[in-house]
Amino acid sequence: MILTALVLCPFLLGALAWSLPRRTARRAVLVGASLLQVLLAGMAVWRGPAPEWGGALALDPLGKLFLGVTTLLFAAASLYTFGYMALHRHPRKRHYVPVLLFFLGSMTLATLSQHLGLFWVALEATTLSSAPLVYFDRSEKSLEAAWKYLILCSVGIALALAGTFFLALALPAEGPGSLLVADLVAQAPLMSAPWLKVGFLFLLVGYGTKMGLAPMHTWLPDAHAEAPPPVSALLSGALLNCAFLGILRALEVMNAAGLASFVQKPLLAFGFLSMATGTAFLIRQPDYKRLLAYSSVEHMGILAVGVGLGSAQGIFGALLHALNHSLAKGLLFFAAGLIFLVTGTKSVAEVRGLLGRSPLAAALFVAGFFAITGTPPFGLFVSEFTILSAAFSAGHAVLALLYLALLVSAFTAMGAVVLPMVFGRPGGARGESLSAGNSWLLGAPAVLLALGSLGLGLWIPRGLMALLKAGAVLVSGGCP
Amino acid sequence: MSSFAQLLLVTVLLLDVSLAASSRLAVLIRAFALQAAAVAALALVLDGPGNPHAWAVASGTLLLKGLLIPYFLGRASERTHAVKELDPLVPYGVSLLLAAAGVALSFALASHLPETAQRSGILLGAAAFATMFTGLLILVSRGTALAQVAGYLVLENGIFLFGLSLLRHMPLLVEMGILLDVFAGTFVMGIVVYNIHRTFDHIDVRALTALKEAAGREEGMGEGA
Repeated sequence: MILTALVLCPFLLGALAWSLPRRTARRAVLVGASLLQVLLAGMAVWRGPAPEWGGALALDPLGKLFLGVTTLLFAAASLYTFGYMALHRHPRKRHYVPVLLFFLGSMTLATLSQHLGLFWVALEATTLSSAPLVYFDRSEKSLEAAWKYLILCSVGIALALAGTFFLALALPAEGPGSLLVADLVAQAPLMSAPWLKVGFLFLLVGYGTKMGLAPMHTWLPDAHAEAPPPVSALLSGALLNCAFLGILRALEVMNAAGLASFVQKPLLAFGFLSMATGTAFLIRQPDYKRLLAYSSVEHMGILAVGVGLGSAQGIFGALLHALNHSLAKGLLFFAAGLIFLVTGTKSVAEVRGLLGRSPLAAALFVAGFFAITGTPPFGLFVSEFTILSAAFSAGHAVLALLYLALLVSAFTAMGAVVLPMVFGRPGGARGESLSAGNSWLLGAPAVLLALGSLGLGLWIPRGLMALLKAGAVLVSGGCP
Repeated sequence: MSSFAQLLLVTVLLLDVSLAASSRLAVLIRAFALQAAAVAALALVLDGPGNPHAWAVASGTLLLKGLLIPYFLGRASERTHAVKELDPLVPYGVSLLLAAAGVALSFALASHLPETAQRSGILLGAAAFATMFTGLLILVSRGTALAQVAGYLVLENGIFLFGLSLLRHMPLLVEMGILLDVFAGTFVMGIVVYNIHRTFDHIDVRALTALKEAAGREEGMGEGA
């Protein structure tokens, strides 16, 4: 019951919001829906409900983790939206709140799907519901970004559907022949290895496109830079994770089939290529939202490297990293939205001396910078370090050093862009000034995310630890 | 496999070749609609007309992909005044040859399919691969937004055809979800194409390059210098 409710509530409330003529009423529905979702998700994670719809909807440790991240980030983003939309001059768009809620519903379905076909349906629905959000500004650039996003991700995800069918082809002729993850894992040793491999590669390329792995990442910087900041935060912090979940599901099957050594090479290749590409475009990046987007490409690369190391420790690190990245990237996009409000520009060169103009935006942006680059004591330090030590203990010393070098380069490149924005001499463009009430609405969600990111660096709660470990065991199939 | 099913599959293969070579959007859309109708009929023929699941999939495919999507695309091409594509990245003659080569390659690939997929013969796998290949070819070789949408739909047709050999694996709900996603996807893409036309007065998406990294970079460097 509760799982069905989790999926249906956002869609129903979205339809309700569509019918409401008043903007304030629609926004009230948005905040109400996101709080209701937090409540429902909290209950579901706490209670561990029984599977529904013949096992197609169920909550396993991976689902709990990603459902939790998605729901919390969405709640933060909906509060932020409240403050942001009041200040930002924008075309009246009635569909914003309903589409945002459909987006939430499809992401929730993705985290709960245990059937690979249903998962595909959910992930394609996330593309369709978020494309109108990218085109929010109605500018030429946002139109171009929305088109690229739609066509590239739809084609990518179509390949993932082909991959899903190839997995089904690999199933033995007798047997239940279902595409439930649990059934696939149980039958994996009997499945045809060549078709499993082909299927996995299609799934990796398909869902990798949506996850933003290089070289299929080209849509990502455009979409993340053109979408309004709360949407960018969701695209980066919640949606990329959902695509990553698709790859994790495929990995569960591959590892159970004893093909762990086959999957490592493509994962590591995509991972390092993404880290290198992301880092390269951080250097002297002229647009601070694109800076954050390329940083997402880099971090998706880190996730791929983490799971590509083939050890449970690496997978554990990647799961923790996904969580940390969501918090820090949400914080950064919220801060970027504040910067845009007070300066009215997205150009790095025009933002100087932010500290004097808006101490709140400056403090959040700097905190986000230190968090995302894995500076201790933020959470990303712990997860990046876990993956590093997993690389060493798996005997990949060269890869570990390369990984470390890329992390250091990313820190330097990003710092060279961010620090002059904050501490440089004041000047350049000027936008609106924030009232105390607006600062509070916009600042509170960002501060909460910053505290979360900091907290995870100092102490991982026991329940979360157990969840991450169970997730790592699930993906690695119990091998050490 | 019945000779009727074979006839349908050969139709799908022939349509692939004509899709790859047609410059007129109206022809592209009609060929896609015919192909979707053939796929719908195949769902019924392959799984036996006694199967309600097959009926649902066939009628859903026919309604959405055979009728509604082509109608919608046709209207979009009227409203955007897009008639034909004159300057494809790959000339139509070459496209035709590539599509034919793709068909040949697909037969080679299909002969390696595991037995579960071959219960309906090598022709089904070959038609599926050839259609996927044609869709990708259209996607990379055309610059008109609507032609790219058609390419995506043809690719989807191929994948769906592939799925037909696996009908027993897919719950009806999931199949309907896939169809609905494709329909909604075309709808959203159509709206974006319409907006592209309104904003830029053309729908050549190769000309949309404002967001290219190099362009933005020069601007940034210029300001820095």
